[in-house]
This record gives sequence, C-alpha cells and structure tokens, in this order.
Amino acid sequence: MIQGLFMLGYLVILLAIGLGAAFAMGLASLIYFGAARGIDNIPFEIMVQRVVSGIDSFTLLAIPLFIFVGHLMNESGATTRLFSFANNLVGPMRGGLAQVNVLASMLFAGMSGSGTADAAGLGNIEIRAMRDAGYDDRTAIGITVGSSLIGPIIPPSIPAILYAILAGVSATDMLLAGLIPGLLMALVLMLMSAYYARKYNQPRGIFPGFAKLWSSFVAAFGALLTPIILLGGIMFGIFTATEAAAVAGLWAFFLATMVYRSMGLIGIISVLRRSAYDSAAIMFILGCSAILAWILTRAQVPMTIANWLIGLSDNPIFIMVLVMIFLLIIGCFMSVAVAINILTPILVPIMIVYGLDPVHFGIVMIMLLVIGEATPPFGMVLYVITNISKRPFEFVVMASFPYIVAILGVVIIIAIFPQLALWLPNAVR
Amino acid sequence: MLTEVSDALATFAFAGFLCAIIAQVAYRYIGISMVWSEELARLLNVYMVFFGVILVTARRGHLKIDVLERSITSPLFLRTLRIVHLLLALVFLLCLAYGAYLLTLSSWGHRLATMAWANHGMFYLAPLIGSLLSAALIVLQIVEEFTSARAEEGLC
Repeated sequence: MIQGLFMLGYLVILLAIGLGAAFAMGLASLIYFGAARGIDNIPFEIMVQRVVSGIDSFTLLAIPLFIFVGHLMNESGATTRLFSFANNLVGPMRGGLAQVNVLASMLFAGMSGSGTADAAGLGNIEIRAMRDAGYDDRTAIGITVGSSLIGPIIPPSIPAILYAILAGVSATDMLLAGLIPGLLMALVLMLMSAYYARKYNQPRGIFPGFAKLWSSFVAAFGALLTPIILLGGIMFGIFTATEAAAVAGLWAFFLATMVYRSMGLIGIISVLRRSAYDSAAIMFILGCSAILAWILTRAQVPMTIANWLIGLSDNPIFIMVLVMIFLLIIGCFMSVAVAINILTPILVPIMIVYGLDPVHFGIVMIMLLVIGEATPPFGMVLYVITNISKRPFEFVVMASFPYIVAILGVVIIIAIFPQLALWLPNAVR
Repeated sequence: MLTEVSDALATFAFAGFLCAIIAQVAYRYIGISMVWSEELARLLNVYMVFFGVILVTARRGHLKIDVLERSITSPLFLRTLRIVHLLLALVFLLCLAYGAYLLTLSSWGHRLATMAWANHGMFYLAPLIGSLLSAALIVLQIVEEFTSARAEEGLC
C-alpha cells in the first residue's frame, strides 16, 4: 500500500518536470513494480496487457468518432451556418451578439465534445463579428471563452466517455447527465450577457425579417440535426453511444460532401488524419493510465485514502467540498483528459464509500476540470483565444474571469441538486 | 518517411473502424448479423492509436504540463531538461516494446472469437511496432539535441 502511495508521488514529480503524461504514468508504474517486486521481476507483459485493454474497448471508440465529427463540422462550414442562424434569431436583442455567441456554442456543443474545438472553430467568427459591431474586447473575449466551455458538457462529450470507462458507469448515462447542466451553463451565460447589455448599453442588431431567418434556419438545418441524431438515437435505444457517434460521423460526412459541397476527398482525408492524431494522443494516455489504475486497485490506495478521509470527517458534504476545491486546483494544472485518467480510479471509489452517485460526481468532476481549460497556466481555450484575438494572455484571463465565476456557480448548483444531472438518465432508463 | 507511413496507416485504420461500425448498424437494420465488425473495429482502433503514437512522438506532441519548461530561461538547462524527458520516455517505450514482444509471441496462436484469420497476437503487435518505432524516433531526437548543442558551442 505504501508503495502505491509512493507511486502517486513519483507520478506527481514526473508530471511536474514536464514529462509527457502517458510516459509519466507508465514510468511511475514501472518504478512501482521495480520497488515492489524487484528489478528482475517487473511484469512487462502485465503492463502491456493493461495498456492494450485500456484502449481495446468498443465504448471508447466513441472518442475518436466525436473528435472526427467536431473537426468535420468545423471544416465544412457548419459553424458559419450555425452562427448565421443564431445571429438572425437572437442578434436583434440588446447585446444580441453576446447571446448569439452562447447560442451558437450551445448548438455546436451538440456536435463537438471539446471546448478547444469550439474556441478554434466558432471563436474566430464570434470575436470578429462582435468587434465589427462595436463590442469592447473584454465582452467579446470573455463570453467567447465562457461559451466554449459548454462544448465538453453537452453531449457528445469526450470527457464523459473517458470518465464512464474509467469509473465503470454507463456511457449513455454519462452523456445524458451532461445535457441539463450544459443547458444551465448556457442559460446563466445568457442571463449574464443580458445584464451586461443593459448595464453597458451594448448595441443591438437589426431583425433581418422572417424570410431571412427561415433561409438561415434551412441552411443550418442539416447541422442542427446532428445532435438530434446523436441524442435521439441513444435515448430511444436505436444505437449505442459508439454507434451513434459513427452515424453522426457519416451524417457529417454526407453534409460536408453532398449538401454543403464544401469538402472534397483531400479535405476529408485531412480531417481523418487530424482526428487520428488527436485521438492517438488522448488514447495513449488512457492506455497508460490503465496500468496505474490496476496498481491503485490492487494496492487498495483509494480505500486507504477513503478511510483516512472518514477519519477526518464522515460528512459527505464536507468531503464533496474538499474534493471540489481539489479538482478546481488540479484543473488549473492538468488537461481534462489527463486529470480524468489519473483521478477517476482514485476518487470514484471514495465517493461511492460516502454514498454519492458516481454519475452525478462524474458530471461535477468534469465541469470543474473543464473550468481549468479557461484558467492559467494550462487553459488550452485561453491559448486558442489569445491566438485568435491577438490580445495579451493576461487580458484574455481577466476578460474571462466573471464568466468563469458564473460557470463555477452552476457547478455548485449541480453539486447541491444531483437530480439536475440524474433526472434525464433515470427517465430514459 | 517513417512519419508519413505511420500517418497513412493511422488514417487508414481510423477510416476502417468508422466503416466497420457503420456497417454494423446498417446490417443490423436489414437483418444481417455482422458479428466480426465490433472485433475488427477494436483491432483497428488499437493500430490507429499506436501508429498515431509514432506520429505524436515525431511531432513531440505528447500532452504534458509545461509550466516548468515555460519558466526556464537558460537554454542549457532547457536542453538538459528536454534530454531527460527523452531518455525517460525511451526507457518506458523500450519496456513496453519488450512486454509487447513477449505477449505477441505467446498469444500468436490464439484465434480471435469472430475473425478466424486473425489472432490475439495481432492486438499486441501494434504496441510492439508503435513503441519500437517511437523509441527509434526518440533516439534520433536525442542525437539531434546533442548535435545542435555542439553546433551552438562551436558558434560561441
């Protein structure tokens, strides 16, 4: 057991010196085996078996497919169509472009499972449009960063699939549990934007007329069907999460090549290449984390930490608050995928001991870690928006701060009211 | 050359498992059972990951926490840190390759449940190829670090 705790120490050191997360997890496990069994008895076969079994899962195939759908939607021009439709719908309100920003991100979140993809795809269009309409950079950048965080929460969600596999819960439950929290995030950001619009007398757009609104809806209709295919297919039991992701991939391919006619064979191959690269980077970490999870379980590390925490307090609310603060801090330093891989096998057994629902905890955990995408020093969304907006990193951080605090408020609400996450999966089951 | 081939194979594997899953859904609704499609998709996914890892290694794209790297201003210290990272990664990849070699040999005779032409060893052949070729790339990157350090010393 002590060796298991030491292994976590080696892992922290290796991660802190900047070694690739997959290598850090693999090496920490290797050192553990060396220390526990002796250098001559390191079970190399078990290590490889764990890595392959960590990757070899049908449910897991949803991750590369969600990445593929996100890239394809970005490249095919679906994002521009979604933005145009959202602009015609809510643009005429005071501060309408801030509302457009949130609505477009929410719609895009129904096809992409990543905040970075949202920031890179829609962020550019959103910031440019807001600047042209006379919005100050603080509002344009802040709301763009905030709305990008909806992407990994609303299904399809890559972190939800990762968590489901590592925590041993249903991927369908995890995907559905993210829908209401994601919509709540969007609602809070919209309310906040409406408040700022009045306070700072932000501009309003001109209503383009029902004919133009209708034509923009028709243009975006194909893209808007993607989340319906995904969620409808899963909710009505037509396909599994992985099959739904593949069908959504086929639909996105059909839109890009046949309907929008914006991509040819070369464009599709380029999207496939990027998707394979991104998927390999994430899934290699997942494979290496499987060795770590195996050791942690065998060494009973989570149970030891749980017993220690019970000694500290048997109040689940206190423990939940403690873990939430810990996750918020960790999220600042680790990417969502890495943190989920490392922490899920440790934290989930502890939460179960305290009687918390693993699906509810998973959504809270993902939301807290996703906030880290927009906090320094490791926030990928911040770097993407800094690059797009050409403003200093510090400015982007400060502009995003109020929106991040609002999202944190939503996480606290979800933590207090588990039914907000659990109602939908329970209703569908 | 190595990265181009890995890129092509990872892309092919990706496209392959996408088609296998879509075929599974399509055939189910026309009443034909494709029992092998799930196993094929999983096998291709393992190959996609390990061919992709070669590419990620070549582009030094492994996800990491780079706070320390970004805070270091001394080029010498930075290069030393990079070499340490590469050496540590090399050790892990070689261990992975050795384990994969042993498993590939021991499980080569065991046929897969739904694909008679394939065997369990094929699942472990992917990490063997992926980690060996990634290790080779890391050796080249280490040599590159030393060569550029010498060139800079020569300029000084």
